Amino acid sequence: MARKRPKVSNRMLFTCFLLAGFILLFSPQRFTNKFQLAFARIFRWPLSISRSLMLSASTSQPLKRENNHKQAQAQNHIANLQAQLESQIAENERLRQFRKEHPLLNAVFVYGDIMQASPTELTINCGGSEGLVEGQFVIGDNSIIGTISQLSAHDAKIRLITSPLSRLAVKIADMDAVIQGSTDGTIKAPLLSRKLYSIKTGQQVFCRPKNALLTTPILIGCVSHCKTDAANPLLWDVTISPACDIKSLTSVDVIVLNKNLSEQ
Amino acid sequence: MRWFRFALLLIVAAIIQAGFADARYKPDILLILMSFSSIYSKTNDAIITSFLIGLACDLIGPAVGAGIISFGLLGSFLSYLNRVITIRRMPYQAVTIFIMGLLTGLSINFLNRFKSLPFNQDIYITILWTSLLSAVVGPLLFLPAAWWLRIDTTGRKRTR
Repeated sequence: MARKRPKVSNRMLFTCFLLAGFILLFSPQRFTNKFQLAFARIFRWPLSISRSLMLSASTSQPLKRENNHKQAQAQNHIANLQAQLESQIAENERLRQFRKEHPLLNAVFVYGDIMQASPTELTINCGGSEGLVEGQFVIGDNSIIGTISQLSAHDAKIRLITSPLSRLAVKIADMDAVIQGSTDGTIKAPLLSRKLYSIKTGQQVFCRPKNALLTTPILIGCVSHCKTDAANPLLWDVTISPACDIKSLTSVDVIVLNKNLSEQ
Repeated sequence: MRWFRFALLLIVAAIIQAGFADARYKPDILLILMSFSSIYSKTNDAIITSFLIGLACDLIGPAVGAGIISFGLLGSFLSYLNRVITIRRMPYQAVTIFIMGLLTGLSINFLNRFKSLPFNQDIYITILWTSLLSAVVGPLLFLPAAWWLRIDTTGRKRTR
């Protein structure tokens, strides 16, 4: 016995389809996109063939189309290169600015372990073979502790800022001065006029830049005592404490400026 | 209606139409197929085919929903209209396709606004050209479509 086919009225059919249409219309795009993607995935080959056929038919001259295609490719490549060039120029300018702001970038820090220590000198295990020369500044805990005084191929002696033989040009209270080590292990700043210098305890003392040896001020220490000189009341008697505890150091860095970079 | 043949024809039409996606002015094969099925099929078949063609239009279009409603409504309307006015001569068919093209184009673009799709400024010119091109090409495609679907276009009796 044949099965009777259920009859659906046109009105019902129309209403159902219309309702389905509205449901799809007001469904979220991310949901309905799945249908479109599924269709594209199932029929990807015929769709791609159809598109390529239409594209080939749209231009009657294949050679001209090929040339246009290559020209567009070349133009796009040129545009990309120009954009890269502009980006590199901007990057270069940024680096130049950064180098100006950070002058020690062109310096090489030669690391040396302290082999021997005395109150006025240190001996480190690096020397002329690492590019060290006499007079170069030595850093410990990010502050100047002395300069290279003697040198051999593989070791060097550092004259500490506390050494009586050490004399360094510095800035105290934005004024130029010279500091000198004292026999009692402190640092003195002699011949500072009370009239010219307004020095207070706690002020920081920076080493002045020196050609080919230092390009930026670096901290040396701070003023620990400041009083009127007993021998000459017109002068200050200033005592400076090193910024780091030199006795506790086990290694130091020697600032070796890269000549080529520093000239740029 | 031979549904398997219709399904094949619909898929082919959708794929061809998707190939036209880059062209600015193009005939709308799905619109022609909708007009054909509405003119030559029974009303209930025409309703189903119109909605299915609308679904195919949505699947290759920017969003789903607007095509189903537009094609379904206008295809059903044309099918009901065909009970009163018989559209058999090619010029009339061309005019019908042209009007249907305008109406479906406007309707789809109106409904697509609910999907927050960007509105194209020169959409009216595109709709006009699409309708015009479909009207020119459409009646010529009716014959192969009728042959494929085994529909007698000469003077068959319509079943309501």
